[in-house]
Amino acid sequence: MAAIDQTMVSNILNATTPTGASGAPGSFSAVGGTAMKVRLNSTASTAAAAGTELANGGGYTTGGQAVPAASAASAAGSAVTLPASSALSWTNSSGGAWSIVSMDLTSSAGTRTWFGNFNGQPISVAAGNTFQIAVGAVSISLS
Amino acid sequence: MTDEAQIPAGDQVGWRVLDPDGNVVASGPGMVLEMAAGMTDAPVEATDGRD
Repeated sequence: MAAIDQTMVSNILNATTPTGASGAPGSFSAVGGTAMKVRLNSTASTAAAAGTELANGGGYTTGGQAVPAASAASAAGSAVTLPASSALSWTNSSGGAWSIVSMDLTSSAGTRTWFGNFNGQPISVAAGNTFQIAVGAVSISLS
Repeated sequence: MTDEAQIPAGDQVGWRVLDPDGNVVASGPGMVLEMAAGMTDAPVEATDGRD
């Protein structure tokens, strides 16, 4: 499942091709910041835009949840998996059901990188229930 | 308390929904996000060197 934000695609392409002055590589805009975040959406994300984010409050905070630990870095083209050491978890205290379709991986400031639909979406999370993304559940790779 | 019977044996659980008692009420496999870069040969016009 291909799932990278189109702005990020251009960022990568420009930095790895002679799009800079006199044929130099273009510059890469580092995602930077502090811990990346996983945001949850009630609609599918696309390369152009994130899906509709779950409403703020009731167990979900706009922008998503920070990934608490570093994933093992890619080496020799290996995939990166997340979350690294503990499940990401949201408990629905909104009083209504959540319907979760997709997720976006973003910088701490909200810059989108990778996105994808959950298998089996839409996932209904009744009030009082908890939605978890298990350790290593998301595998990201380039080939 | 986790209801292990609701987690398919041998499957890697990607996501799960738990009730307030910690029982798994739904689960599904994880996701693989992959971008594949491909290379194709551009068409080459063959000539025999003569006009």
